[in-house]
Amino acid sequence: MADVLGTFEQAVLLALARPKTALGKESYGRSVLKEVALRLDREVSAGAVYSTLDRLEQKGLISSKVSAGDAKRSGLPRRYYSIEPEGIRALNNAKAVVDRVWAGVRGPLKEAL
Amino acid sequence: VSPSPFEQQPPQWAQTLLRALLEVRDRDMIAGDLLEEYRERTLSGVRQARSWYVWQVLSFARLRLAPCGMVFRIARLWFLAFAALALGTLRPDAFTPAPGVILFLLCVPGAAVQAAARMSSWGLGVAAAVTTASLIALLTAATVSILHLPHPPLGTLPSLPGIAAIVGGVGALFGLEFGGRSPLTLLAIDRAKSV
Repeated sequence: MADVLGTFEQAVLLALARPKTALGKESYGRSVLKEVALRLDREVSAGAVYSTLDRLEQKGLISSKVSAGDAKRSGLPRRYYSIEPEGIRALNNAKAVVDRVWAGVRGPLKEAL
Repeated sequence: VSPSPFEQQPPQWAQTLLRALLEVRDRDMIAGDLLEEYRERTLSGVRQARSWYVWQVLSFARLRLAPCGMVFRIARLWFLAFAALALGTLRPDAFTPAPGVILFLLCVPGAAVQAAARMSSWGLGVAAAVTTASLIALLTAATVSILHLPHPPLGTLPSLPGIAAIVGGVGALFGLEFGGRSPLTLLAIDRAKSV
């Protein structure tokens, strides 16, 4: 069985799987960065996001293509990411694991028994 | 007040450092993403936008330095094994050639094998071996000086890192056979687990 995705990896993959990210449907690095920060409710480092994207691509969970940039970014190109069927399966698997672990437990848990 | 054309550019040194830290494949894309986000953030405050940009550049520097940290942790582990065996279970004069050489030839390639296997890099394996040998050389110099050992091998100490590079190179080749993951992959896994 493949490794179960970590929380950060799930946040990155979900940023690509959601119909709309913080920047609309433009799933390039900056929009993923903003979406992950929004979902995790904290600033996230670009290094962590891009290295995760790189690794997910190496594992075949996402793919990317390069497109021309515009004046907002001094003409520098963009890399657009899209989630692959294998990535969807990995997300479903990760959610199923969490659901199984929490099955029968009604949250939030009380701190003192 | 709209930012001036000068303020719409992140600090030049940070841009240069960022480009130096990135792989050629990603250089323009990531630099462009950060520039775009920086420019949007300048609308809320140039100072905050600059701080944000510098912080992001440093996050890439941390990624680049991560393999060095892993190399040092592995070298420290093997050095501590050497120190424990040499100082704890052997005689105080364990640094005289025979047992010292045997321990050296166990610990230094050990570090190289572990580092190369863990990070899939021959160079990092050699670096771990050289770092281990350097720590051993320092410990040996301190020990023979403090204990006034009769035959201190001080003259041979500067050559230890060189010897380590050779035996570590061979050890790292074995380490590569065990496979492993790239340093960035390991870092991403660690980061994912810590969230």
